[in-house]
Amino acid sequence: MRVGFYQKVAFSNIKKNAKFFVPRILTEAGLLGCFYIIITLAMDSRLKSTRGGAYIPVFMMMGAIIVGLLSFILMLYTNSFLMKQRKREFGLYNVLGMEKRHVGRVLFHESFISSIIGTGVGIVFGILFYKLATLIICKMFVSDIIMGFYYVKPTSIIPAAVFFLGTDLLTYIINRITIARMKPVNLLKSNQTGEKEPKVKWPLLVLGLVSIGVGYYIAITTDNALSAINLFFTAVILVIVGTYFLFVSGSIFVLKQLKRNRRYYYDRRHMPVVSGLLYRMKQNAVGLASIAILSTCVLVMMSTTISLYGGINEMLEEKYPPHYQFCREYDYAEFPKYTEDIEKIIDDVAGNYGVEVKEFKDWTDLEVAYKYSNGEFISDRDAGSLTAGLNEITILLYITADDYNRLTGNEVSLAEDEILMYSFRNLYKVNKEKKELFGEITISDEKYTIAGTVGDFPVKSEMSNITDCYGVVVANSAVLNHIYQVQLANYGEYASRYDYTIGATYDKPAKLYDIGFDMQKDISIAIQSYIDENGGAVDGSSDLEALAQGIDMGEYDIDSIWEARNNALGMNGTFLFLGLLLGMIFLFATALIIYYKQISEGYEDRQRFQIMEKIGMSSEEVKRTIREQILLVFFLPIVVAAIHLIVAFRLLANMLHLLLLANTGFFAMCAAIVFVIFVVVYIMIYSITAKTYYKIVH
Amino acid sequence: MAILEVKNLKKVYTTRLGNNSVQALTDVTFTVEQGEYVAIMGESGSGKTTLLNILAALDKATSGSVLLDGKEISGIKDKQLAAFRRENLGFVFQEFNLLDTFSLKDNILLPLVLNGVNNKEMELRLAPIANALGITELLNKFPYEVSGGQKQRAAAARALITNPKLILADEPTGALDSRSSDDLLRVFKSINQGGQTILMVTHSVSAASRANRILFIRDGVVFHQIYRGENTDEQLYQKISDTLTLLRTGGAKV
Repeated sequence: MRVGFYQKVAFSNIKKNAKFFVPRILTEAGLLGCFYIIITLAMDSRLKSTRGGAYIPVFMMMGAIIVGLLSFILMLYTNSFLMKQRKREFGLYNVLGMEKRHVGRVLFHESFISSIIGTGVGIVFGILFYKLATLIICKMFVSDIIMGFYYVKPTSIIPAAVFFLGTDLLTYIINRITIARMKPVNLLKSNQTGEKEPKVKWPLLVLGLVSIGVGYYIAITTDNALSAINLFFTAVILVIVGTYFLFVSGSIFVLKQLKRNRRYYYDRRHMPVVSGLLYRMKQNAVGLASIAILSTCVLVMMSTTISLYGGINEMLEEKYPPHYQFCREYDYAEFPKYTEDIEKIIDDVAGNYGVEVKEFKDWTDLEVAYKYSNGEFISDRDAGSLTAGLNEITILLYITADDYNRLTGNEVSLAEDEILMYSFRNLYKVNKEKKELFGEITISDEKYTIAGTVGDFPVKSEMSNITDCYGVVVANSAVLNHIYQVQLANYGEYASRYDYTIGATYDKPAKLYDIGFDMQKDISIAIQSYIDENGGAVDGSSDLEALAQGIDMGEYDIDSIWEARNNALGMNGTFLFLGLLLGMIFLFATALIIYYKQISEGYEDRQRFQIMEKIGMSSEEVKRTIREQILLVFFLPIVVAAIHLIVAFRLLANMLHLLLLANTGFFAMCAAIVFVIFVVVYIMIYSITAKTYYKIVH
Repeated sequence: MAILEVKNLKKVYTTRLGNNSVQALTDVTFTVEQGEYVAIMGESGSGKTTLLNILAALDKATSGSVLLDGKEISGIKDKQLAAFRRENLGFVFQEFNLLDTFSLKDNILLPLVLNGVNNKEMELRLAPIANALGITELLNKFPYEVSGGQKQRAAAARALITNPKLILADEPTGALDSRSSDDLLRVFKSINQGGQTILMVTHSVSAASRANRILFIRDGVVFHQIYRGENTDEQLYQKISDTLTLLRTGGAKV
């Protein structure tokens, strides 16, 4: 037999089996395209150098790994499906006198042709859509639009092509081994061996219930955001395992119970559906569990990334004003002498840009970590105050009553052992049972009386996103200094320092997004020349006498709303892009599994329904049975996904809190919208594939 | 009383383009009396299957009429057709057509379930039939767990359980070995002796020789028929064989 012959056979096989091959080739092309786009984005030097683009390479590389892994699994899945459907065909070749090596050769040409088409189309696809991807990214968060023609990057084409061709080669090898092991008779009959009625697998049922239960328990009871991250993965794994086990055993358990109920079972509406489902579940439980998990992934990914991106402005409003913050660390509580000069510089620069500073604020704060237990804030390294777990570590953020009054316009005065308290997280760990702050507390072995609580604290703490955090107003700078000295003595090199901040609040912050960066640069230049003129000491630890002689400017930090916005857009935008892309791939994977399921089941159910029609079921009844069966099978995963999402909601909201999204209502809305859209797309996928199924069955 | 009357039945198949037509049934007329056991014989392509499909209301005749218990089959609306078939006809197929997802019991009960019969009544009807067919022990087994003969007996039970006016059997012994065939034919005989009307299409001379009357179809017409009369099965067998030989050698009407 000549080589040309095998190619011909292979080619006509692909044409004959287009129903299976076309999705396979499209899968490969689509996945390769996405893979190419992601790794090219990771390597695109034009993006990296843009504002907010710094996050792109790292996250895109992580995305590429996920897409690669997913592609690998999906391609093996489509292949195993294809082989299952074609076993009979291969058996026939065998019977007709082709040896296994000949069949193998046909297989090779088939793989070769479909692989070349798949990778070729995929690369073209990737190159074409790369421009779209960059446009989306630019629109989303990179301020400058990158213009230019199609950007082709051989350094990403080669690894992408090698990866996918390698996967194809692997599937080919697997297929050859499968064929080599098969006996022709088995190949011929592989589709029609009688199947035993499935039995309930009790151990799986129990294990599934337990792991879902534990996973759900973790999700529902976790309060602490940082421990939420660790626990999240434990919970995810438990729920995934539980989902698989429950689909495999729980579905059969329920159906068996229904069947045992004679009243229910021997009914024209129930009997065909229940018995059909019983067999369907046996073969499809794993596939359906996969759909449920993929759907959950899509929902979680899309809803979190969208709400992160959409919540940026609100998050910024939460943290700013002041829009521009000049911040300096010190080891003493004296107010620096340069405040007015710096404020003048900021004001002058604003004037140059035609904007106005509405107000200036300045304050000194001290943020100290304690280990909290039973009404005591302990600052003792030996007691583990710096190494305690997050459920014990508690942050106190101190300001003086003077600063508090100046910042808020209140008129409080406190005795030296009195404090005012504010809870950033509303969790009141301090007095958990009563959910309010009152009475006496001990800070580093000294007693303080909570004279009251305040509704709003003028200084924000980023630590409040991570762990329990309280604002504390103390009587005066002497008390503050005392607290400072105690923690300095206890913590030594790990002690906290004073933060002195000058904040400027502008009139129209939205307008500042455009000019903010330039303005910030100008302010920095002006401050630098001010420092040069006055020759202040460089490090903030100099003593008070040194301070009296010069201006201790040292090294300072600048924080501004536009910088934060850019970082947030860069990071959350990259998340969003990846979330959407991965979400789409997961959705595509779901669609693919559904499609293949419908086809394979169509062929299996066909005979069954023909018999039912022969013994007197009307075609309407057959149709209704089919519909009910498919509806149950395909909407079960989505119901499960919805339950998973609802249970995981709190945990996810906690984690988003870490990423500075505090608005749970907004997240809930995003999740709801994503879910509705997902259901609509799912129904579309379902109805398209259901048509194929009806065609096969009828 | 005639339970089935077939008058001048004609069936012409036209190809899709309409320029080629094949006449499957030219002009078939016969009647089946209540309680009769009729076998229809004929070679492949003689029109047997077409005839059976029309009788089963699975196909429509080009012209002519089929009356079941005095009711014109072609006059039944499509929507009621399935119910009509379920209630009036029982089917036994060559390939058994049992559902492999059902136990034998559920297979047998399926027509009753479709008819909406209640649980108690179903049990009452199942027991005597299963007993008569010797499958009581097998009721909870699945089709892939039993032999071909047992499957066909379950299929027969499924056909009988609705108390149909007529049982249509299409090559019921076609997929069975000779012992199972004998068993099944004995079952058919005893069902018939219980009063059940049976119409069986078959190739097999030994199957046909158990019937009370044998119709021979050739080229779309009823070519000949033999009554059992006082003949034993063996004598009838001989007669049928002779007739078939005659048919094959192209003899004129006997």
